[in-house]
Amino acid sequence: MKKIYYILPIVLGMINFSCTDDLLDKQPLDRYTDAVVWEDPALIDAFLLTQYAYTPVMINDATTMFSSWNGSPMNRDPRADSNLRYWFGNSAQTFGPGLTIEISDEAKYTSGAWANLVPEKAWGVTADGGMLEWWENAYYTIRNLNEFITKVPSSPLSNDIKATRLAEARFLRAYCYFAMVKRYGGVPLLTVVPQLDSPKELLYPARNTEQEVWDFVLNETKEIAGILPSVQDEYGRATRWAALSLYGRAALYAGSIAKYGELNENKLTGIPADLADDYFDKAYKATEEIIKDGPFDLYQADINANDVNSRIQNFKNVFLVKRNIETIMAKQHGGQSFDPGGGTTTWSWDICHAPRPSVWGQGNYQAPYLELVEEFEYIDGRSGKLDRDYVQSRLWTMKELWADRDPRFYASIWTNGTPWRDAVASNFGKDTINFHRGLIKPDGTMLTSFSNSYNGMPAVGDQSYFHASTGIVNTGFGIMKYLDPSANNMIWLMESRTDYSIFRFAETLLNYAEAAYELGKTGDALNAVNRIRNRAGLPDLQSIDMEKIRHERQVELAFENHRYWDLRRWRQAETKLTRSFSGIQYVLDYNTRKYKILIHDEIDGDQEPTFPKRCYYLPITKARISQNKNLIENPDY
Amino acid sequence: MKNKIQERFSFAGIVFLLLIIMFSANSVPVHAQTNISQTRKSIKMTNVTVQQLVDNLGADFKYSFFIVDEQVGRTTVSVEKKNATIREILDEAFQGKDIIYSVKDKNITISLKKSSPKQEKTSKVISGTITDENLQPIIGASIKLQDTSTGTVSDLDGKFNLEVSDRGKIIVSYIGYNTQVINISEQLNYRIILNENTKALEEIIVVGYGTQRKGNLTGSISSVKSDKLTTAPITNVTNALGGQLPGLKTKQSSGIPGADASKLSIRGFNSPLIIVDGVETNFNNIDASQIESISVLKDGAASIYGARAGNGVVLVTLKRGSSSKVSVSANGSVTIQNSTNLIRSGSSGQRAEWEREAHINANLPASQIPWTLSQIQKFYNGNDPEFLNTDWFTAAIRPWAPQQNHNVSVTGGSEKVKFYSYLGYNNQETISRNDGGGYNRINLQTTMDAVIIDGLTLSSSFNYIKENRDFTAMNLASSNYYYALYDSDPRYALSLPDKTMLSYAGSSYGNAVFVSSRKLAGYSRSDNHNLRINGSLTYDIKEIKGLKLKAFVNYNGYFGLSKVFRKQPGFYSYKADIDEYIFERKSQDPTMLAHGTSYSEDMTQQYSISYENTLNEDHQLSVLALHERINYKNEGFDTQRGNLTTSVIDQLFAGDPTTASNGSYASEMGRSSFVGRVNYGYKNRYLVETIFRADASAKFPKDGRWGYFPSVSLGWVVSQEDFLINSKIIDNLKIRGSFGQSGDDGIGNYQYYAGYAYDMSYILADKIYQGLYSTGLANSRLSWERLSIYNGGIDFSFFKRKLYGTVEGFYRLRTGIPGYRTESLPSTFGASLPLENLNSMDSRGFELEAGTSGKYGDFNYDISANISWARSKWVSFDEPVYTDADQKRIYGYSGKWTDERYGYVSDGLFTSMDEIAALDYTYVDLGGNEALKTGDVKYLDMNDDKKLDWRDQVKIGQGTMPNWMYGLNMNFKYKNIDLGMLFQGAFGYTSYIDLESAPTTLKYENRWTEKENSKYSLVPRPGSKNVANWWYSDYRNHNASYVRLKNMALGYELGKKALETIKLSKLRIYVAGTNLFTLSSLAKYGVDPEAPEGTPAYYYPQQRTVSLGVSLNY
Repeated sequence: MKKIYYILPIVLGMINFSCTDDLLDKQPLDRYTDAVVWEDPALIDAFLLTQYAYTPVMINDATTMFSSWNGSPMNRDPRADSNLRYWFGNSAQTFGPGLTIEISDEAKYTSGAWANLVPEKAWGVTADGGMLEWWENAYYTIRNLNEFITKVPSSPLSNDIKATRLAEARFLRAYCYFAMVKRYGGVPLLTVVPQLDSPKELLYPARNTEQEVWDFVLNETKEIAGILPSVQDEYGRATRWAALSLYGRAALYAGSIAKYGELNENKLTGIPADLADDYFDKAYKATEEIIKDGPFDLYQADINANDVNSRIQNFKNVFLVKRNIETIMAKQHGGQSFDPGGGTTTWSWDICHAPRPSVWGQGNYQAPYLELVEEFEYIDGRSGKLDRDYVQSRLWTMKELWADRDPRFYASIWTNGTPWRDAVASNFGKDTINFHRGLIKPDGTMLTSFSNSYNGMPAVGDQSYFHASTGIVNTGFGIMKYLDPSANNMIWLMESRTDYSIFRFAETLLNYAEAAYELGKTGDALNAVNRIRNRAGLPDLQSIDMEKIRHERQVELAFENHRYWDLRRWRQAETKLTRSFSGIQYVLDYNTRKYKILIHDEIDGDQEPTFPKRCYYLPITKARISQNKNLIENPDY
Repeated sequence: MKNKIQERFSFAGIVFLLLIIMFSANSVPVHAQTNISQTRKSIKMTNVTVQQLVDNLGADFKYSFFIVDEQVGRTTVSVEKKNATIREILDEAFQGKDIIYSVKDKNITISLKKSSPKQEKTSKVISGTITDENLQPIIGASIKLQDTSTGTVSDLDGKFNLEVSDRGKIIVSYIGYNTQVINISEQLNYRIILNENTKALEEIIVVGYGTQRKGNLTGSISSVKSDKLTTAPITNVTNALGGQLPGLKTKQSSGIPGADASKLSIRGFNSPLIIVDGVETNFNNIDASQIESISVLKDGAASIYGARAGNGVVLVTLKRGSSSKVSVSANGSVTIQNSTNLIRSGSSGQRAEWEREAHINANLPASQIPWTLSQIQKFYNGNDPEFLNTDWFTAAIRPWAPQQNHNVSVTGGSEKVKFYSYLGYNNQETISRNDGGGYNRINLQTTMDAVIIDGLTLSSSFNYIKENRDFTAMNLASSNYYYALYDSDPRYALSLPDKTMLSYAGSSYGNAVFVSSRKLAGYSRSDNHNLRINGSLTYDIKEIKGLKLKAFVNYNGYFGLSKVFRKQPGFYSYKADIDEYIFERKSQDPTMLAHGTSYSEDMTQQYSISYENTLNEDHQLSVLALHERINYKNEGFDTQRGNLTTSVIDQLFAGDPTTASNGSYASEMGRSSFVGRVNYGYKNRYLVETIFRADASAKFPKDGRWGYFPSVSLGWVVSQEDFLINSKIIDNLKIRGSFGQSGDDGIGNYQYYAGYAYDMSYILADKIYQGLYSTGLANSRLSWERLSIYNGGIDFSFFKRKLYGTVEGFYRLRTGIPGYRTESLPSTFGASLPLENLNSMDSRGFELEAGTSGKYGDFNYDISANISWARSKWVSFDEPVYTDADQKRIYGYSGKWTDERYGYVSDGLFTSMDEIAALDYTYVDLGGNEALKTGDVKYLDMNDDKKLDWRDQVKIGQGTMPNWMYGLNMNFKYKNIDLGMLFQGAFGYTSYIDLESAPTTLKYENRWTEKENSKYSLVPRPGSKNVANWWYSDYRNHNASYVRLKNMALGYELGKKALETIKLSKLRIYVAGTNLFTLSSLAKYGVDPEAPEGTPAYYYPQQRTVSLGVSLNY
């Protein structure tokens, strides 16, 4: 009975122990608080670096970032929750950088990538939007940048650093708006941080006019070009030249839209035509400044004047050699891939485009159309167009078919017979891409199935193997540009460590040429274009016109996320993207070991591309408008 | 300072727990069965009460004393003896007193000697045996002479002797059995059979922080006992609950060993709070055999758990010892599992046929048509080495997999000390044919209840669960595993002439056999240890009858160690004509070794004071006041390395150091609560219960941290009224009503802090920097959501339980549901919005349970059925103010059922181009009808505006959780044979089924073909990229309903004679099964009715089991 007197104190003692407030007053253990971050230079910079990563549109207009299987704060599109295609597939780390390639006239989607724009290419983007969107993520990044721009002035950074970092943030913000305005036309321009109790105009903002947004981008980039250093202490940050490059590109876009587009009554889309020259002039001046005063040049380090083939490797190296003279601003890649444990410092280009067998699956997610291939001239300046009837009338060796073209062709595109490490070459020597699909036996019959072979010669070459076994139709070509022969594509996605050029000098020259031409300065235009052709190894043009500039741009900048936007701003997409495209099929003739060429005029089958006029602008969508009644939809949605 | 206090606290807690365990351990020898009547003792006690005397003697002589009369207990006696036996001591003590005693085994009954000469004259001694319906002796039943205090208890053989007067009645009662009143007749020996009364009013039901007599319940509480949970051997106890309890909905969405739990939902609400022995704990890994009972609190009764209880509470009570002789029971079973619904991979002929049709249908180049018809025929024939038809699926998956469930428990004790020990072992293998691993679990439990000193009881329990999951490196829960299974192309060979090389099968993971094998693909292993130790001290304050003090401490710790070792071999194909192996690819995921640990703990303390008494015979009063504190903590880290140079050593150091990475996490939480409850009953007729709880949670900011949750319920036991009490028809009739408020705080911690965390990395100057992102805006006003629930019910029992049951209805209003204001606030705002208490929802529903039980001769039956319905509506939902009526109708939430689904209405497939040409409306999003072809899905222009667009979407179904759920539980017993069956079913839900995305036989067999051109093919035209075929519509969203024989058991119990020869008290042999038979409206889609939505092949199918088992008691 007395034992109770021993035990009770223990019990009471425990009550006593536990009567402290720390049971309920706990702090999160996995986060920094607001107060800590804005007082710590390293954390402030870490926040800014995230905004660099959160502007994936700089990388071929990818619209999300892959951060984890649960998604990242960047996957803000309402569709993202359930739509792997969107938040995973559109990321800069996976298939996002290929999307504007396949929706343009550059290439056909084959298979493999989780995201594709096949429906959008066939029927146009529909009223609910869904792909190519840069809205929710854009405003997320913009808010972060606005917050940075608001808070950093009172932070303990040194004045120099403060000015530079603020200008970097403004550069990124301008890039975000640039990527929006080219999609939607006018969008709400937010430069402050809305709070839950902000005035209605800020919480439910109306769209600014398209012109206002372009002007914002131009004014901002112009101003920060005067603040940013020419060379940053750390390579990869925005510089004065990056700001000028964005300025030049945006001014050129604005000029074309003014000149070729229609001005909507509400001014939310379109720019008054009389402003075109003004914008072209801005583009001209900014690009001229980069050309004249900038430390950049076309990359020619690997050219051996006596060997035209050296120009192939030289052009490949424009995209493979890090920090080369042609790169104005790059997103650097390196470090570990996502799995295991890496971050967002690599991308997936090689796995998407490398030929078999040095890639798992088939690579070749986007297959260039024959029409694009034909844009590559012969080395002597002749048109690259094929006589299709003649081509199909005889047997060819690959050398006969593809010899003597613009060296950029071999550096941008691979096809049957292109050298590639480890490629299984049943007809060629080793290390050569074997892309035939079909085998003509000596008796004239044709084998087409992947399990067929004749005397040890497979009916389907290794590169076509996957396509043939699963019914995928290819164009006969693949993308070589940016392919890193040393990449290990046998592991997972995100194994590419090549840097991506956000701005490169060749684009500056072409922007300059176009702006000059629009302003009637044909001499400047001709010189700039000839600089490009010269480096490539092609003869100079004697005269210049708009078609030639656009042609040069299409070839030089192929697969670099220019073509689709160019066709839109020139208002040519309606015709150039509403048509069928073609591809070829190589059929190996067993006896002669030459190839019969079949040209398929409708390589997309019944998914013939269509670009409805409304698609010059993406829809604001009824979901966004029902959230914000002050938004007005773009025409024809 | 803060840390110090915590340390001290934890230290004190652990010491306390250790003390408890030591006490318990020391008590064990008490139960050793020795011949104690020879024990001798010296004693000297003067003027003590009989009660004090026996308390003193009890400890030394190991007898249980029963004092049948309070007066006797208060009588003072004196005794002085040296080295005396118990009889000698008692004889001396009672000398000259009117006290007699009787010794039977280790029970000593002390009673008053009746000195009335009249009584003496007519008295006689009767004897008897008390058994249950199965003729098992009932030990410790009380036998009392009516209207006297004379009585005794039955002994170990159920026997008793009692001195009685000539006439009169004896009352025989025992907890859980119907009390019997027997007229004393001429006969001297009585055979009394007590009927078990599992559903009757005396049943003790576990309620929040205590128990209640079922007859006195006023809340809506359903309860199920252990025997119903162990009908058939199962590894996860949640799978035994379906159909058992009215209002409890279950859905099992996967059959993965160790992860096949059913999702539980009370009345269609979100996940309920699970309380095991007083503490919030997951109970997926507790053996069904360990469980004594499960109660489900469905209405205001749950308010006693306050802020966590809004979705109802499931109370699980584990078994404890009882005061009986030591008994051992053992169960063993072996089970075979096979899939309820196995979807097979399509053959090579089927695939080739599809590819050919797709190519032609898509109008792609004719020169690239993948297969000729004769080649397809060769695939079907399967005897040409160039046209193989490899069955990868069968090579990887076996038709059945073994499972074992064994356990042994020991229980026993005296009035002073009771104990229970349990050891269980479960093993469940996967359906992988090739070294696919499985799930192992060991459950260990020891409980002890000891009266330390008079009035002070120490209860302790020690639970340890070790779980081991060991599967292939490919996660069985991820669809990748199933992609590999189904995507392995049958046109590739199963193996190559060189057996050391793996054969490629067109899959990014190589082939199906690879992914299903630990040996080939590596493993993914996790070991989890769960330790739950608790102890309580209860002190009955003698001075005030019914007043108790209780302190309870529980430590719950989880420790987990996980390890994934992934291999990445190369895959080859073989070209026979050139005798060459071609390297095709490596499997998709790189070699990797990941190693991680996790640790979490929670420490719960409860201090309570309670009072329970019947005052003036008529007023039953029970009061509880309790304070509870819970402290949570968890942390862990993960490390990994890639590019392992060899797959021989599975250690981190074998990985490439440049790929090393690691991470960690940690969090803390705390809760503090005060609980009060008052129950009052008048004559067991009018019942009132009020509950009040105040809860504080560290999840919420200081100002809004405390929440207050009251509830009140009333009951009227009509059958206790004078006009019904003697009714022959109505045994029980009770009308109940309740109102209660509770909360739900199931949101992340610290939403009221704005913070920054690491995300992304970026390279500058070739150096990788980690980036920091904002976790979003904070909401300093965020609090739990509030739920108010109204409940009404009637309990009835007629004709001596020939018909019994419960009808119940409820209405629940849920306000302040946390939501993100993403709908009404446009995305231009740009921030991750904070959770806000924005939305509200109301739910309503009813439950009906009815049963009948009885017997005809040797045939006993008990049949009960239940059905329930529940559905919820959004009262208000943060959403845009829609001005467009169609937007409001289709996308709006407010005022609509929460589970409505909108989509297009299909009318099968187009079967002719004329039909398309004749359409008087156009597919707007396709820019016209040119893209349509035969075999595409035909949608209807529901609003007749000649345009097929989003406005044509209408309500096409409702969510995946059934509105209606029912169960039919049947138990029969004939002599030694018993049969139990539980049917369970559901209806009122839909399931979205995509047969096309996985290359299964379902896809090919149900496809549209030009030849058959069927309007009703389940898969549209192969090769169609027509996006309209994928619009959300009733073409793929189907009504679902099913009934399944959830479990069944047929048992045979050995007769008494046979048992005697083998010295066992019970031996039962049984065959049992689960998911044995299913009728489902989804059967035609080849889908299990509980399968997750979407692509039905890509998950681990539910398992059907058949078991053979034996259980015995000693």
